[in-house]
Amino acid sequence: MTLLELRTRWKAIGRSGRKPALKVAVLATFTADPLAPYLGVPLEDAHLPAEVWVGPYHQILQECLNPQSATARYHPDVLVVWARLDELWSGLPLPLVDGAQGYLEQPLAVAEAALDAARLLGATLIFVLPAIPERRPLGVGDSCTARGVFATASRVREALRDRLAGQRGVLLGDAESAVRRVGAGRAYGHATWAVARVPFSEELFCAVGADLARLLGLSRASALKVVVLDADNTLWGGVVGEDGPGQVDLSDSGPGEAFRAFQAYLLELRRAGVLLALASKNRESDVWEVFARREMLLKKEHLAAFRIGYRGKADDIGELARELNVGVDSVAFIDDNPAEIAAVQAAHPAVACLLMPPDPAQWPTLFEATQVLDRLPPTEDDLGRNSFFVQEHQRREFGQTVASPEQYLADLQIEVELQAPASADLARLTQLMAKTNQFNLNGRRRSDAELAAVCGDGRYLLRMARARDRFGDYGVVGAMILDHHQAPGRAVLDTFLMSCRVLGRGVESAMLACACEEAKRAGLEGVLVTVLETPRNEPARLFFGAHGCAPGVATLVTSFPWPSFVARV
Amino acid sequence: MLTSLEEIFALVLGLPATACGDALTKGQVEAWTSLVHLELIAALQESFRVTLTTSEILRLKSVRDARQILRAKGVAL
Repeated sequence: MTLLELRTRWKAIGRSGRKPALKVAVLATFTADPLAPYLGVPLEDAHLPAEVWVGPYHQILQECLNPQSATARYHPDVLVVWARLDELWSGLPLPLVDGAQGYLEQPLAVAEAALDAARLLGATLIFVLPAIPERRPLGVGDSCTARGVFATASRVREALRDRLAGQRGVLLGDAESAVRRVGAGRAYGHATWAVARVPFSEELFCAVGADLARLLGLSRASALKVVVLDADNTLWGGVVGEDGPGQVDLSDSGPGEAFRAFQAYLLELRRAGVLLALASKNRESDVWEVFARREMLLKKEHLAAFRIGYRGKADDIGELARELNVGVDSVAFIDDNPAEIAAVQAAHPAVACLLMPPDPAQWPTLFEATQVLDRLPPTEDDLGRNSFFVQEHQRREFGQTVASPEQYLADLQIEVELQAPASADLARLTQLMAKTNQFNLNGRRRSDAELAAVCGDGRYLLRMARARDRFGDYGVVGAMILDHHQAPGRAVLDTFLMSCRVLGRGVESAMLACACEEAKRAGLEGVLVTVLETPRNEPARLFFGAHGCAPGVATLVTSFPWPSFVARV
Repeated sequence: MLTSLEEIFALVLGLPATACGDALTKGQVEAWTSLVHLELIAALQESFRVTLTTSEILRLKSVRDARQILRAKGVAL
C-alpha cells in the first residue's frame, strides 16, 4: 500500500462510522497531524480500532498540567507524547560549552508532566524518545566531543528512558530508531517545517506510527511464549535424513554460519523467557545426533518440548501447545517449507508463522520486519518460565513414582498464598490477565491503568495467588476480583483467572475458597459466579460446572472448602 | 498510482474529479484547510516523484498552479 493509499484508507475508516475501541491523543512540540493515519491504520489492522486526536501545537506541558485542558477533556485511553529536542532546546545555545545539565531539565519536565497526566487520566502513556537533532554546528567534528549535539542528545534520551522505562502503564517509542530505518536524508521535511511546522517526512511519520501501533498491540495481545522450530534447513543447512547427521551444514562460513547465528538468536529469546520447541519430520536418533555436534549452539536441553516423527506439524503444534500449557495464539512457528507453513496456518490461524528464507543469511532482515518476534521486556515470571519447565519435568518423573494421584498431590507439598497486590505486582497481574485465556471466568481484560484504578477503589477486592511446591516456585499464577457493590448482599465474581500450568493442583479451589471467605468477612451471603463461554475457556467452565455453576447463569456459591492437600501461607 | 492531477485533488479534497479542473482554487473549497494543503502537497510529491520547494508550497493555490509547478519540474501533464 502506498502512503497515499494508506492516508485515503484512514479517511474512509473515519467516514465509515465504525465505533472506535480506543481514543488516542497525540501531543507534540510540532504539527503532528500527519501521524494520525499512520498510527490509525495499523491499529485498525491489529483489531484496535482507534480514534486519533492531535492536541494543540507545541503545548505539551500546558496540556498535561492543566486538568481542564483539551486533552483532559478528550479523556484519551492512550496518550502519545512526542517532543523534539530541537524545540525543547530552543533558546539554549547548542551544547558545546556548557555541561549537559541544562539540556536535561526541559525534556525531563515534559516526561514528568506526561507521566502525571497519563496517571490522572488513567491512560496508557506512549512516550516517544526524541531523535538526535541533525543540526550539528561542528559537522563531522561533533563526534569528537562529549559535549557535542549527538553526545548530549544521547544523554537526554537515556535520562528519559531511565525515568520512564518500567513505569506502570508506560510504553516507550523511539523516533531515532525510526529515523535510522528511514535514513536521516529522507526522514525530515525542511520545506513543510518552514511552511507548517511539520518537521518530518510522511515516510518518517509512517515508520513511527507503525512502531507505536506495534507497541500498543504488544501491550494488549497474547505475548509470544513458544517458538516451534523446524530442524532441516531451519536450524542447519541440508536434510539430515539425506545428508546424514555429520554432514548437515553447520560450518563457520557460508550458510552454516547463518544458521548458527539464528541459533544464537534463539538462545537469546530463550534467555528472555521464550520457550523453544522442535517439530521435525525425521528419525529421532538422527536429530539428536546433530544436536550433539559441537558446532550446534542450540542443545537438546534448551528445548522445552519436541515432536519428532512423520505426522503433520499442525498436530504437533496443537500437542506442543497443550504440553506447554499455552494457547496457540502464543505460538510462533518457523519452517523453511512453505507447504508446512500453509498447513499449519490453515489448521491454526492464530499461530504466527515465519518462513525461513532460502538464503538463511536473510533471516534477520525478514524476521525483524515482521512483528511476530516482538516482545515487551520480560517480567520476572517470563524469566522463570524456562526453569519452570525443568521443574515440571522433575514433577512428572516424581509423579511416576507415586502410588495415586491423591498421594502425588499431597507429596508435592503445594503452598498457596493469597494477597492483595502491591503496586509492584500490577504489571505481572496485567500480563496474567492479558494472556490467560483458558482458565478464565469471563475473558475480561484490564489495562495497567484500569487495574490500578480497581486497586484503589474500595468497592473491589483484589487477590493474587502465588504458589510453590517442593520442586520450585510457580510465582504469581492467579488473580481474582470481587465486586462488593454490584449485587446487594452478595459479592460478584468480576474476574477469576489462573495460569494453566498449575491447573489441577488445588490453586483454583483455594482461590474460590478464599473468595467465599472474603465475601463472608464482608458480611455478604456468598459469591455470585457467572461463568461465560469464551472460545478457549473450557478449563474454567469445567471447573465451575463441576461445582454447579452452569455457563451464563449467575449462581450463588456460599462456601467452598480449602483443599486439604494445599498449605495456606 | 494516481497519475491525473484532477484525480489527486478529487481524492484529497473529497470532490468529484469533474469539479477539479484548472479553475478550482483554494478560496472556493472550504475543506482546503492548511492541513489538507499539506496532504495535497504530500500526494502530489508522492504521485509525481517530485519535491516542492517552500515557496512552491506557499504559491500553490489552485489546480492550475499545481499544473504549472509540476510542468516546470518536467512532469508531463
